[in-house]
Amino acid sequence: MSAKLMKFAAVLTVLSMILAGCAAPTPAAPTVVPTAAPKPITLTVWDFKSGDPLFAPYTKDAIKRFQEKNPHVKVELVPQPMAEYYNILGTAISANKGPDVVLLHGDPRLVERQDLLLPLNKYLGKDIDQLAGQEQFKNVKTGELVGTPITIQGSVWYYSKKVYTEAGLDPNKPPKTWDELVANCDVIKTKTQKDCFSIGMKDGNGLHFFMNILVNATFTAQEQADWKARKMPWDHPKMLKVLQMVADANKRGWWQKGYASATLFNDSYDYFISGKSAHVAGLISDSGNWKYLSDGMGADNVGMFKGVTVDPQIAADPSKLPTSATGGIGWSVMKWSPEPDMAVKLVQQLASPESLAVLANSAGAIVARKDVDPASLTNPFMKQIVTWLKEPAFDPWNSVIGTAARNEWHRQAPLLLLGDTTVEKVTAYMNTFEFKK
Amino acid sequence: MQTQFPGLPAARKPLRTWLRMQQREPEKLWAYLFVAPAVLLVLLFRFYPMLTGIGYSFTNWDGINPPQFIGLANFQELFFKDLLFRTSLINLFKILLTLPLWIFLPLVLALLIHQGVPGWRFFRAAFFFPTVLSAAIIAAIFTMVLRIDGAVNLFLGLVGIEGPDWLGTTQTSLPALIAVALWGQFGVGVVVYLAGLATVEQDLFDAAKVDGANWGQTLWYVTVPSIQPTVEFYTVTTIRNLLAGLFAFVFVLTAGGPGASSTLPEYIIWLNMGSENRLGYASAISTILFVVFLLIVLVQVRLMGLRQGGDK
Amino acid sequence: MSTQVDSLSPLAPNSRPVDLRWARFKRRLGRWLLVIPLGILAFTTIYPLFFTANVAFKTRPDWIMTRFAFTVQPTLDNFAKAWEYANMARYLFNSLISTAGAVILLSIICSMAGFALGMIRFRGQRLVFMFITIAMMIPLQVIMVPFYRLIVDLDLLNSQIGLILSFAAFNIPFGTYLMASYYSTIPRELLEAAKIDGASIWQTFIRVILPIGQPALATQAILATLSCWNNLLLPLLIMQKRDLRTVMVGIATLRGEYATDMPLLAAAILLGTLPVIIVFLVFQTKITQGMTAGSVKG
Repeated sequence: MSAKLMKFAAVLTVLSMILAGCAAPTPAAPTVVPTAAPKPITLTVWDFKSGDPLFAPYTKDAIKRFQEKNPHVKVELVPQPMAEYYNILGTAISANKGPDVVLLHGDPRLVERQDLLLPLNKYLGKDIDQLAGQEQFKNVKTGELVGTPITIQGSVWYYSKKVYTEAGLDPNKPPKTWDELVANCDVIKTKTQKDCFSIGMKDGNGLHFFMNILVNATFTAQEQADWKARKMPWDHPKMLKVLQMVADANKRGWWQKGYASATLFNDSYDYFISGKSAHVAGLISDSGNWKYLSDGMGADNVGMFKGVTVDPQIAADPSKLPTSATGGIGWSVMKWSPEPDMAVKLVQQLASPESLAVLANSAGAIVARKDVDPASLTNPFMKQIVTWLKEPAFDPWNSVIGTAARNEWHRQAPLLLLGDTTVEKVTAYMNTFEFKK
Repeated sequence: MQTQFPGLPAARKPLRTWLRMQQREPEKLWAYLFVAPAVLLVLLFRFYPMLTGIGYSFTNWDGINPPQFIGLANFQELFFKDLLFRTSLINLFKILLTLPLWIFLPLVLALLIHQGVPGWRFFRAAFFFPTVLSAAIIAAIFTMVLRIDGAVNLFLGLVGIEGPDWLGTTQTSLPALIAVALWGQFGVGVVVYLAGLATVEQDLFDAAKVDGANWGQTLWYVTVPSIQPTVEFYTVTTIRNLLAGLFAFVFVLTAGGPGASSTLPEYIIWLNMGSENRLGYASAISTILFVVFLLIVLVQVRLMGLRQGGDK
Repeated sequence: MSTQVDSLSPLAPNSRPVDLRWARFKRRLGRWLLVIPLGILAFTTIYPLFFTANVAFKTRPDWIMTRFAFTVQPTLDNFAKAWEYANMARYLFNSLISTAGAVILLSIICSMAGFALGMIRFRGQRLVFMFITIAMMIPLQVIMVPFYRLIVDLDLLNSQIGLILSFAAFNIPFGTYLMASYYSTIPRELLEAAKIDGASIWQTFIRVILPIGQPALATQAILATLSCWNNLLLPLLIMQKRDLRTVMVGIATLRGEYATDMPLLAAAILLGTLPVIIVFLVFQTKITQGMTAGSVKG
């Protein structure tokens, strides 16, 4: 026994030595510095994207370029898992100790933290005019820019040219009106036995992205603004009309079997890619977009359209159909950063045309810069999206609904489709939820 | 050797008792030394942050601005206004009703392995495999396995049954979630019980056999009493797991749906923290869960006291 | 083993040979019938590993088209990519250090505390027991902010020691309770006997208690290994430098914000889980060692 014990003690000693060795050198900056060189700086960057192999080449490239210009700066890029990102950021905020540069969504998640973010106007100068989708990256109290958007995000519908051909429909003629869509779906269902739309309702997102388009087809600009300002009730005739379309589609059996347990990303996309459904509601930028679909089923089979309308005037001139798009994600500098100048320089590099070009290529992102010439884009999908972005745009409906209301809607929507509740009940409930709480 | 300690003033009675105890019953002193590291680490890393956390439950803290004291408002809202929380409590109650299954399934399996059912070495390893995977990974795998066109329904199809969309109907989502969580957990029970069974003398089982006890009787009258502390331990930890250890399953398998049919309190905690920025409210929910568990542990300690008293 | 028990059965000497054979046959038949449900259960427990492995060898289009089908043209690309993007070599090493450190620490702390709580009677015992047990119930999600502040205040941010201590603190309640419940089934006469032999309590602990506790200790070690290895939040909070993170953090960051490359994730999961599977297969024999010894003796 004592021999065993000795062995145990020996292992323990060795281990504790290893541990001590590992723990000690963590405070990074070396103490001996050549006198001529500038003081070494470490910039910590947090994001929820660069673990994704589609996104990684962009950050890698931007940091490499930055370090070539600023060799004395070490950039510590820390990718965080998306599900925990804002929680982890919250702990850092509460302890007043954290990263210098962060990636944020240009929505309430940025606004909630706006007072902690460094205003960028004086650093960016004229360059600021080149940033697209910057409205979502402003401090709503001061109007100053507190983040540089890097992508534009929005909703479009995709259709499968292959399924259209199989159904005897013209693969280059997506529907323009709701009625055309309904007619197409009837044909597809009877001729190919395939599903009209694949959606994913587990997280409630599927119907949300589907409805982004229907809201754009139905609401006027004023109604869109009212909705955003929480002045429009859920049982407003226009909202009821949208929900009626949803109910109609539901009654006609547009969705794939098992939609209630499927996710929008990736289940409903993968279903679409495997050629079992004719349409899917998707994103325009960086992931869950045409690139994901093209990689799976071949670009020739992927058709993209802005949506359908119920307005005959718009049907005659599709450029009047509002595009569903808004600022996506962007980089911000935390006010507590001890090296704000250098941190802004890094953000400028990350938002530069040369770096964003890498992002556009690797992830198929629609980048948030006006000085990226659409003519230089060889990809037909990107070209098309960039033209759409010049037309009138609405914020996607899912981004202008309060967080708590959205969570509640994500619970109600699947019940609505499953027939466990009715449009009247849902709208009444959502009203009490959004207006009395 | 009843030495007096003349240097100590009479008022320092506790210290005197202490020193006297050291001489009379050294093992009791050792006991304090033995529990000290555990107590200190738990005190520092668990209780100290938790007390702050309980404190937050009386505030409207949003995680960004400084918290403001709002009294019992969070608890009032939870108990009288929040329909979702009420639904989640009902779901939690339904889950707790399955507790016997969680306790006895692994016990039966451990006993079979212990008694050397053919292939027991294989089963011992196989039953533990789910435990090796983290809950999030298990849930991700079962999301695919339980889809309407997934493996479960494929197998059911072979025998002519058309399976439902397990995770996508209000009737099946909670039972499916329970089944997956049980599947992920029972291996721990088997291992824990096997360790407990190692202390039981084989003679006990043989004696029961001689007395003509059947398998069920042996289980209930011989096995359970002889490893009672282990069964209690596993029951308490399982309850803990059911109260606040199923988050990853809810999050990945069903996201609480459809509707609120599989929403549990800990999922509401996450919604309030991760998306609705109501950290004070989330703390209030976890305080409630903590109090529930505290009561269960009180009962358990009482039981233990009875048993120890009976030993004497 | 089954034959051993049979031959030692007290029934044997009194029974006539024919009855004996029939009884033995019946018992064996019963046993083998039991194997069927157990086998089905074992199939379900192993299937997901096969499933994951199968997916890990698929290309992405292959995965989308044929999820459940056996992979015809396996590819190793996913493993290579996972190894690179999840920084596996470095992260596996980090996980190994923090998990091993915590498990060794836990084995010592929990054995000691479990022994005291399970076998010795002392004032405040139940209070200590309760104190440690209810600590199980504190979800990290909710105490994340005060916990993080504590880590910062103690200067344990980005330190392996900090992670090891945290892992230990979070697993002490379970481990201590487990050890205590195990030790409380051991007859206290053992302590008295050792005392009479003149052994100090420390000597008794080392020479008698630890060896007896081996099955529970092995169980504790295995479960603690899994718990530390699979923990995501603690290393996420404490290790805020890329090179210090653990394997599970690496895997978690592989998920895209929207779409996830499932075959890549499956490959990463396999690579990240393999070490704990090995640990389990090595340690599990220790759990039942007491049992086999017992049956031979019996």
